[in-house]
Amino acid sequence: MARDALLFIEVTGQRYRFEDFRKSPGTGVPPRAEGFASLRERLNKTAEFFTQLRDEPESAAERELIQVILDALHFISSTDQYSAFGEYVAHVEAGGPPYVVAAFATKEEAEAWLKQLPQPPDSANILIANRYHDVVHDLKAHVLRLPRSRALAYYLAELKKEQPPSAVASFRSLEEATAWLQSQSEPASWAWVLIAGEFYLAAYYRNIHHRALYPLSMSKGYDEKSKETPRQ
Amino acid sequence: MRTGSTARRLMAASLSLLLASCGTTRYSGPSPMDAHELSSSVLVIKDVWGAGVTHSWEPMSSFDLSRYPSRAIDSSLAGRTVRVAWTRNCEDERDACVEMCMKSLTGPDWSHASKGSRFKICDGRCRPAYIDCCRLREQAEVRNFPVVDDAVDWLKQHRKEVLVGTVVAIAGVAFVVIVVGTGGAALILAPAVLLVSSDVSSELPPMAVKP
Repeated sequence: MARDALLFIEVTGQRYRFEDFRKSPGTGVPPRAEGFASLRERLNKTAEFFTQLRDEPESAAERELIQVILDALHFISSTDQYSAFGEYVAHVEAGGPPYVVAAFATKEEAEAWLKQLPQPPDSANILIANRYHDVVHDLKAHVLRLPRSRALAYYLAELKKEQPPSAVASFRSLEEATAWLQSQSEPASWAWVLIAGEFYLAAYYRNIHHRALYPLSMSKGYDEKSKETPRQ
Repeated sequence: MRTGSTARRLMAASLSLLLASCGTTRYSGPSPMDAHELSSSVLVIKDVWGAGVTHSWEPMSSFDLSRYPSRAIDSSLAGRTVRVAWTRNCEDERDACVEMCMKSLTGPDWSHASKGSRFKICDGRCRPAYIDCCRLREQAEVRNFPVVDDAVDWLKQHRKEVLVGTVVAIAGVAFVVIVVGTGGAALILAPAVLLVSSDVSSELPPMAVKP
């Protein structure tokens, strides 16, 4: 839960917002009572655990690091991001593809979106024409770029090893598969499908209601070549 | 090819400046109003003790380049100009960095790692180098400022990083950095437009050339 909280802040590009929050806590929205009870419970329990850990005398050396985790948990609750965090945790626990915060058809659209944001996200992934891109935003170096990202290729290579492709559905064409994916109101975050005899990953990003099909062949060349002891 | 022609233009620019330096009256006027005025002005940026960074636009006709050590105009100019040519590909470098890092994070120690965590670690490790590459690339790119004041502000801010030969487009007029950090001036920029006439004959269609 602690790792998820830190990763959530990173993949949703909220690094600078979180830094500002750490400098002046208490600026967020007060937590609301409705919904997400069990997630909140998990968050509270995690926070309790780390508070105890922080106050133990033997963890003096790690105190600062533990405080970052506590701040991350506090950040999510006091900025009222239970819903977004819950979606993220569900996506990660289901083993879905790298998280994205937005999807665009063209680079121009993505740039227009970035420009109108008061604080552009940092290190979040976005999709441009269903290709992964990073938002690289460095305040110190005045750098704001949208380079391509290889996150999906590495993910597909890992997934192929852990969950060898076995199709849940088979289609003759990409159009047919797209229609099938669009027709589902709540698809799984990922599933293997066969299109004209080739494996594809059918992906669903619940947080932005976006669906995409990625050919498994994208992972070619990104497989881990283990020179060490072979694994079972 | 491009470098050679830039060097030739710079050379010509410097000569024009030397020729133009006969006038003795000094004049620091307000910002030039139009492209015509811009293309006959020199931009001087100075570090002044107690007053911060100042700038002045001086008419070409009265500008005295000889007051500044003319290191920028000697034969090493061509060599200096090459330094602004940008040949790196930051995106390719980043991909190669991540690939190398991913290969280093293999083996039994990493078999328990959750999906995507190795990539996250490598992405993070390669990030500072990528940002550094982007920063350098931006400095090497031809800067284009539609508004004169924006150009002056940017040049003041980056006066210590700008190299001789850097081209900056100010309100549609191309300026070249000809002096860096000498003789009391932090930067001097001269319009490249003036020099086009010196090698324009090679670019004109034959029928336009008059004997």
